[in-house]
Formats: sequence, structure tokens, C-alpha cells
Amino acid sequence: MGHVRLGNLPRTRKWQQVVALIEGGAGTAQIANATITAAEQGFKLAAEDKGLVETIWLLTQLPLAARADDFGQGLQSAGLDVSDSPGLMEVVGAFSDAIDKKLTNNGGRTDLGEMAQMAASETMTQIIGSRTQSLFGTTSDDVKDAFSKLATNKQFSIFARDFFSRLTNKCLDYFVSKAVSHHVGEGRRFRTLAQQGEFTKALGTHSREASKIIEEFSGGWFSKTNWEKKGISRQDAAGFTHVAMKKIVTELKEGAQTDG
Amino acid sequence: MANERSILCGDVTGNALPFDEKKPLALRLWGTAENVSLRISDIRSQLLKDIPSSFHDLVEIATYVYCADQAITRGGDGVDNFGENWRRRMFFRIAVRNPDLWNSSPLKDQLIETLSFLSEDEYHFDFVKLEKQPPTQKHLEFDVDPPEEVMLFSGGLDSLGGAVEEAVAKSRKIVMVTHKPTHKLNRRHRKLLELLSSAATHQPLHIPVIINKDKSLGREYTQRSRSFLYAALGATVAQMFNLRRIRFYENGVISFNLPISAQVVGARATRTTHPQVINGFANIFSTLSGKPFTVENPFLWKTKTEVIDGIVKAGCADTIKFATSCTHTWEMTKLRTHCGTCSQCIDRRFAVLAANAKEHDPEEAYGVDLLVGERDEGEPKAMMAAYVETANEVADMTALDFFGQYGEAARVLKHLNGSPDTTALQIYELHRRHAKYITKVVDDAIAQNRSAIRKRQLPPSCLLRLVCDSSVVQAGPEDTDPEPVCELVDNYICIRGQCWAIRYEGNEEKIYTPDIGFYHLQILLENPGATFSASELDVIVRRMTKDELCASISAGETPADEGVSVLGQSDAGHVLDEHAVRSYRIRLNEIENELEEARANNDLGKSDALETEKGWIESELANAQGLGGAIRKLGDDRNKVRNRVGNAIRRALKKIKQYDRPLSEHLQKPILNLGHTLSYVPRDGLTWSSTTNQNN
Repeated sequence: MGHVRLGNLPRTRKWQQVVALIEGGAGTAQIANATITAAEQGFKLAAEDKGLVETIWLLTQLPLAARADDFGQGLQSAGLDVSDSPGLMEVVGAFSDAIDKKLTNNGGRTDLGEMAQMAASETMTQIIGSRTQSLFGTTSDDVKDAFSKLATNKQFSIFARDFFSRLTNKCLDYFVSKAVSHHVGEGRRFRTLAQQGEFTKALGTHSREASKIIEEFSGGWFSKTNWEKKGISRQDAAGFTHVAMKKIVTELKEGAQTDG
Repeated sequence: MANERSILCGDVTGNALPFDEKKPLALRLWGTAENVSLRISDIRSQLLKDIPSSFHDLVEIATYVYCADQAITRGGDGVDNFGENWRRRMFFRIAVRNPDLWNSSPLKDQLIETLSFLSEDEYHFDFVKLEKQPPTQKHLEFDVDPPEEVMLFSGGLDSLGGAVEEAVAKSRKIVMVTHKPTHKLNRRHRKLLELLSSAATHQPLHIPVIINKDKSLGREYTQRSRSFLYAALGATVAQMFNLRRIRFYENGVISFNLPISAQVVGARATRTTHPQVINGFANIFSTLSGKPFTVENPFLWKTKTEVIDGIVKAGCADTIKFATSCTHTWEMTKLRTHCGTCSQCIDRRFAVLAANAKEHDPEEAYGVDLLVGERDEGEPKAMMAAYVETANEVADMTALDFFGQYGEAARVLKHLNGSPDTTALQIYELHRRHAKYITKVVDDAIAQNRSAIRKRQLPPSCLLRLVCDSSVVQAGPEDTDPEPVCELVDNYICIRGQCWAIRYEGNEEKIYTPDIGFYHLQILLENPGATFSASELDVIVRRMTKDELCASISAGETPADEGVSVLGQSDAGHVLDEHAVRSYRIRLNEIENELEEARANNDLGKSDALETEKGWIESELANAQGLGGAIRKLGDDRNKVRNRVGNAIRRALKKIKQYDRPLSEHLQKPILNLGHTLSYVPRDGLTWSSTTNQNN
């Protein structure tokens, strides 16, 4: 039990180009560009991805629930199965469970949606955990306070950027990891596992840079939509997802061209 | 969704299937078309009473699901569509004894919820009445001491640890249910039982289950639903002994199975004993039996190292070498029982070394030594790299970093008893302990093999060479001269390995996949202001690449163009011969006269026809003429060469445009001229080098 297998990139021309760039010593920006170009077809369907849209919609509901008088009830209304006074890890667990329940029997589940679900858990943990100083033993009031602060224009931008930066990194690494570890060893692109690890980190940094574009518009979108429509619907979230993913893809393509 | 299939199980009709498919998968456990057989070794003859019909259904449903899981492929790795085909959509129509029960809520919902999480597929079930019951054997009374515990025994180290804990350390009466996927393990299982029986106060009862199926039904290796079959068999046995519990024994790291690589998404990391699955099984069995039924994993908070430690402390270290962890059973021989390269082998060997149980797990049983064995390219090396890198990272992570990196861990929090905070802390500590065991094994091995690493005596692809840079180990810090810093030139275009490296104006270097156009471009860039004809460039590039060309053709062959002028001598004559040209021109004169006459007679129809004919002849003559009005030749080699060189350079420029916009903008007309002659004339006296360093 517990068996895991690792795969390779397909032997098609576009993916072998990515492999050749990794082997040839290309930088993260160029590899990200080639990867996103090869995977573009998959990204085009992002706005229709039920898991991704549900994740982003739920993320928008957290700060709004925290602004309500009753935090627990606010989260329950959004579909999270939590107690009346939830701590951070309870919210994180319930968040993931809520998406699983929404995609019951895997209807509409994709790897992209799955990666979004994981990225959201990680963002919540990192952003809220660092503000409450600890993951464990936090009071519900502390957690509510930290989430409610995300409802401002600036703070939601930071929250959204962190999420998209993780998602972008996961997506790029989802492909690139199928090739990178084949180029470790003496006389290879990466002499040691440490060098391979550095490359993976650099890919993360590049993803974070590319996600800066999200920070520029997400806060405004959140505040405006919430103000004008008195809440954010799944349809609103789908529209935001479409724009955000498009901007990320463009940024990854442009980024490699301009930061050289 | 493309990966859909209907599965007809037993004697059922294929009417009104939900998917448009020509040939549904038919599975039969009995009858003339039998293609699956379930042999629960001696359940029917050894046990005290009949299997309850609902549990009989359960075992058959689990068998059908398990067989369909192996018969329907997951459609490749799905790189281009984010794994769309990985998740299959399966419709089962199954003949059962209790269709109303199985079609009712909550049982059907629980079944779907559990299976869909376990294998990440979409399940639909239609249970129909089993009309013809298979002949059942009269069950014999058998003198078996009622056991206290039913456990699932795979023959691996974790389940062995469980058997040792129950039967030896706690002296309990146990039943071990084993699903045997291959006969290759029979001898090792027998030996394990023999050793366990001699160490235990009460001899464990072993119930092996064998499922045989047609060869054509074994197409998919992932077998994510195996633990459902396993649990169903265990629950059925427990039911017959009036027990309300079964136990899986699996270390927590494998139960949670957090991804060791970014490509391992969702159930690509198996969820066989994930707490959510375990709870799902318990719900199904409780509903079936009408009473609370528990499924447990007592090793959830143990690492594999700690499980092995328990086996050794219980005085059963001699059993370790007979436990089988490897999944590559087809590679197994009597002496070499483990491949040493699959994820389980790596996990097992690390745990054995970390638990200081090396002497109980012979080194020669592994195809590849964990630390110093040469690993093949591809998955063997990638698996090791992923495993060790994950441990490296986790060993130094804070709890915040850990949960900020492994979102998958959040999936567990709602499915374990206790507060989410406590559970999260336990998960973090478990993984940190595991990571520290791994890194300690690696650190100790480096210390022991420092000299061999320094002398490069170990294979380059072994773990110790992958984690140590030999050049660093070779020279201590005190005797290391700082490497001379070679300053890179601002503009270079050079070949590196198979690829091209180009740096423009001191920007980041860009790498390009091979294309002959980069050779042409290199010549132009290195000779600013010089004018080349396409033929000249072609000749130079052919000389440059001649070695490659010679190397790429087989012995005895001659390169087609060697020694021959690239312009060649031959052509296929003129596009139009003199006679044709003369005829066209005469006809043009005639048309002019006829046109005048037609216009004078106001004959519009005739003048239109003549205009059309005139236009056609003029275009024919224009197409046939080259520069200066001379008639072109067919298959002119100069044209071919010009096109070939121009196209090659344009292909290279297209690649540059994708990755390096400043350079792409620089290489435009009039700086780069790709007309009748080719030249590169930068305005500011910019120069290019074919090497990266200024010293070169």
C-alpha cells in the first residue's frame, strides 16, 4: 500500500522543448514561459473549472463571514461545517471538506481544481497563521479578527496574490517536476539534489513575481463587487477567475520576455 | 468527460446504459461466461456459520469494483488536460441478493462517497435482483477458537508489525485476512506465519483470499480500490465471528501519503488507509450490519521506523526479512526480493536503517542499494530524488511552513477524533520525526563514505553522489582557492550541448532548442557589416556542421552534398521554352487586334473573353520571368538555397521572439537584412562573441 509513481513529460514537440530548455540550462522565467505555452490549452478552461471557481468563491466568503456578528454562523452559511467558535485549523479543515462535498463523486474535479484547493488551504494557514502568531490553540476571536482584516482592498489583494502565487507555482511544478529530476547528477544540469531544490525555489519566486499582477486588481474587484452587489456570487468568482488566470498566463509569457 | 465505461456484473441486462458505448465491460463471478473468480480460502468451509447475504453481496461488489478498476485504464498521464482522463466515470449494474438495501440511502451514498474519494473516480450504481444464485457449498462446522481481533495482513512490514503487536506483544487471538495478488509471495507468507505462530501465545488464523481474472482484465496498474476489497473481506470475517471491528495496520506517513512531488496530485498518492477512507468503510459496514462497526488504524501516529522498532523489541526481528514491501513483484527472485527502486522499497530500507535493524534485512535482497547503488535514469532516480528532497525540506520546517506547503494535510483534520489543532500538531510532529529519521540515515552514510565520495569511487547516480557535490568534498574549505571569476561578455551567441545560448546587452541568457538557423544567425552577428549571399552562408554552415552530419549518417554512406557545390549544376530547364514564349507573344498581338475589332463592333461578350485570355497569358509570362525580364529556370538551386537559408533564420528569429523581446526587436530590418543578400549592420558598432567569457 502507499505506492506512488512518477511520470515523464510527453514526447510531443512542445513538451520536449521544455525538457530541452531544462537540460540546456535555461532560467526559470524562460522555462515557465515554455511550460505555460505548452500547457495553454488546459489553462484556457480554468474559468469553467468547478473546483477552481468554488475555491476562489469560498476564499472570498471568509473575510465576509468574519465581518459578520457571528463568525461561526457566517462560515456555516458559506457551507463550512464548523463549530460556533472555530479555531484556524478547524476552518482550514472545513474549507477543504466543503470543496470535496461540492464536488461530490468527483463530478467536475480536475488536477487544476485539486491544486487550487490545496493552494487555498496553504494560503489560509500561512496568512492567518502568521498573523495569529501560531497555528495551534488560537482563539476563535483571533482567527475572526485576522480574517476580517482581509476584507479591505489592500489586504484582500495580498491574500489573493498569495493564493495565485501558490497556484501558479503548483501548476508550473506539476509539469516541470516531471522533467527536472531526470537532470540531476554529475555532468547534468543540476549536479546535486540541492541544486535541483534551488531551481524549484527559484520557480516559486518567479511564480510569486508573476502573481504581482493579481495584487494590482483583485482588491479593487473584491471591494467593488461586494459593495455593488451586496455580496459575491459564484458567477462573480468565475468571472474573476477567468480574468485572473488570463492575466497570469500573459504575465508568465511576458515576464520571460521582458525581465531578460 | 471522455473516460466513461459501463460495467455489467453478473447476469444482468445491458439495457438503458448511461454511456454511449458499443461494448460494456462484462464481469462474471460464475456461470459459463465466468471471467473472475474469488477464492476466499476456506471461509466457506472453515468458519462457523453462513455469510450473511448482505455481506456476501458486499464481497462480490468489492470484487467487481476491484476488477473493473484494473480493467479500465486511466487514459495516460493527462498532461495536456490536467488529468481529465485520470478520473474515470464508471456505471456498475450489479446483480445482488438485496437490491433494495443497496439502492437505498444512506448505504448507496456512503459507498459512492467512500469509493470516489478512494480512487478519485466517479461512481454510479444500479443494483438489480440476483435471479440465479450460484451453488453454495454446505458450510462445515469447524473447531476454531473465536478470535478477539480481525486484522488485514498484506505481508508488508506495517501489517507484520500489527500482527506482532497483537499476537506476540499482547498475546491476543487474531485472524489475519490476506488478499494475495500473486502466488510469488506464498513461500514468504508461509514463513512469516510459521515464525509468528512460534512466537505467539495463540496461533493466528490466516485466511488468504485469491482473485483470479482473465488476463485481458489486468490493464490498469494503479488499483486504488484494493483496500475496499480488503476491508470488505475483513468485515465479512469479523461479522461471522460476531466482532464489531477490523484493523488495518499502516504507518501514519503512508496513511496520510502527502505528495512527494508537485506532479503527485489527488489520489495519485494512494489513499488506501486515509482516515477519510477508513471512516467511510466503517460507515458502510455499520449500515450493513445495523450496528456500529469500527475500522481502525492503530499505527496512525507511528512512522515506519517506529513500527520496525516495535517488531525488534517484541523479539520478532527474524520476521523482518520475510516481510515483502516491493510492488515490483514480477522482478522478484528467491534471493532478490526487493527491487530497491520503487517508493515502497526506498521507504522500507530507510526505515530499516533508521531503526538500526540492518542485520535483519539483508542488503543483498535489494536490486539496488539504497545509498550507494547505481540508479537507472528515469523513475528510479526521480523517485529517490523526490523522496529525499521531501524529507530534507520537512526536517527543517516550522508547523507554519509545513501546513503552508502541504495543503493535502488539511483533508485529514475533519476525519479524525480530537480537536483539529491537536490533530494538526500530531500530523506535523509525525512527519518531522519521519523526516529526521531519513536525513539522519543520509548524514550518517555521508560520514561513513566521505572518502569514497571524495575519490568519486561511488556510481555517479547513487544517492550519496546525488546529495554530495564531489568537488566540494574533494577540497576542504581551507585549501580551496577561490575560483577565478570569469566575466561574461554582454553579447554572445554560442552552442551549448545541443542547445544555443544567446545573451544580448548583458541581459539574462536565453536558451534555444537546436535549429540550423542559429548557425546562420551566428555567422551574421559575428560579422557585422559584412554581406553574404545565401549560398555563401549555406556553404559555411555546412562546413561547420559537417562533423555532425558525418556522425549522423551510417558508415559507408556519403553525405549527399559532400564535395558538390551547393549551387549544383543541374536544373530542369526554363520555366517556358522559347517556342512557348514566342507563341504567347504572337497570341497577345492577335488578341490586341481582335479586341480592337470587338470593341468597334460593341461585342461585349467577345471582348470580355479576350480580356480574360489576355490576363492569363500575361500572368504566365510574368511568372516565368525573373530579374531583368529573363526567363527563369525550373528548380533553380539558387532559389532553393535562398529559401532554405531565409526560412531557417526566420525560424530562429521566431524562437527568439518568444523568449527575448529586446533581441527580437533589435534583429529587425534594416539591422538584419534577409533579402537577396544577407547582412547584419548594427547602428552602434555592437559586436558579438561566440564564447561566453571575456578571457576566451
